[in-house]
Amino acid sequence: MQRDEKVLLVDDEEEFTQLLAERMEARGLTVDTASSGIEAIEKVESGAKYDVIVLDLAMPGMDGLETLERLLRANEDLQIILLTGHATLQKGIQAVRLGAREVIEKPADLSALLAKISEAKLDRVMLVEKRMEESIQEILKSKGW
Amino acid sequence: MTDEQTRAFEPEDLAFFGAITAGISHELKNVATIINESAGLLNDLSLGAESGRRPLDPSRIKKMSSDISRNVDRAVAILNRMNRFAHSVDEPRRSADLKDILDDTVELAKRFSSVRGVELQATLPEHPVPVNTYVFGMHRALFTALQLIVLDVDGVLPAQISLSKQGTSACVRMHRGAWVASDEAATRREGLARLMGVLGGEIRWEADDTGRQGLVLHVPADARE
Repeated sequence: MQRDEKVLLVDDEEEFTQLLAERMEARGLTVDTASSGIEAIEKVESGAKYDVIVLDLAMPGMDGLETLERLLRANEDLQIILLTGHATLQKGIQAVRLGAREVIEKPADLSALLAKISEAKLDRVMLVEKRMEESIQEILKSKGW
Repeated sequence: MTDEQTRAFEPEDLAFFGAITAGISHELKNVATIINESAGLLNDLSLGAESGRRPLDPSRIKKMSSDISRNVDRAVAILNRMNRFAHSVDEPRRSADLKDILDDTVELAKRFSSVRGVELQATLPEHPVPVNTYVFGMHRALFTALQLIVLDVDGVLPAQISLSKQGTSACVRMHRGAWVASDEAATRREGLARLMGVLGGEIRWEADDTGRQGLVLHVPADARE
């Protein structure tokens, strides 16, 4: 299956992100990495476009939840999947309330993660198309059409 | 310690135990995740070679093997530390090397400090620093002191930790920056002072040579050494 998703992996364990990035790239994805929440935010705020962001929940300094909030503030259409060493119901609910698509426990099965990335990209495309359609409708309405 | 003294600290002991084991489990999970991805990549490379898409590079395989071994060593070090910590409750009081207790406590506290953006830098002597103490209680006192230095000091400077022998005492010094006043900080200070008293030691609040505020734990050295 031809893949073309563009993904940002955010985790302070660089050895992990490098391994996961290589495996994803071998499957056709375009992968960028960041080793901290701040680095991820800088990339997004500087205009880098990603279909999906895979974000570690527990990172030194700015943790995953704070990073999630700030990323969505920078771009509300971002599709963000949280990865965690220990998924608790409370953390999962909190993450989803803040706007994460879902929380997956490490170590994650790569096929399952890629399937979720595909779904997330589709949702993002539909979201962007919907916004464009709404903008067009607004323009047409403003012109009395 | 008397039974009454032991019972007085039980809720805090459990909280401390929980914090340490949560940190250990997180570190081990990270290592397991890396080993899992390495195994996955080896499988990917094998499948690629089998299908003829990509020949196997022996130097790459050797490096991956070495990386996996390194992560296994990392896991074993974490488990050894966890085992020493688990056995710290075996006896109410025994001879021990404060250097080893401090080294283990600093390593066990690194996750706690790193998620708060504070680096711990420990300078330990080469020689042993013998003490006769309740090892679990000493771990807890040192961890509480590290919590103070991480939570109750302003700024992002690393925490400097050192250990030395001074007369009949072993001294653990921790310095970072200016103290922040709060009710929680005051409660932590009182708890640490109480704990050090039970362990036969004391805590002093001092500035180092550069004027950074800090604390010094004085622990009676083992008179038999």
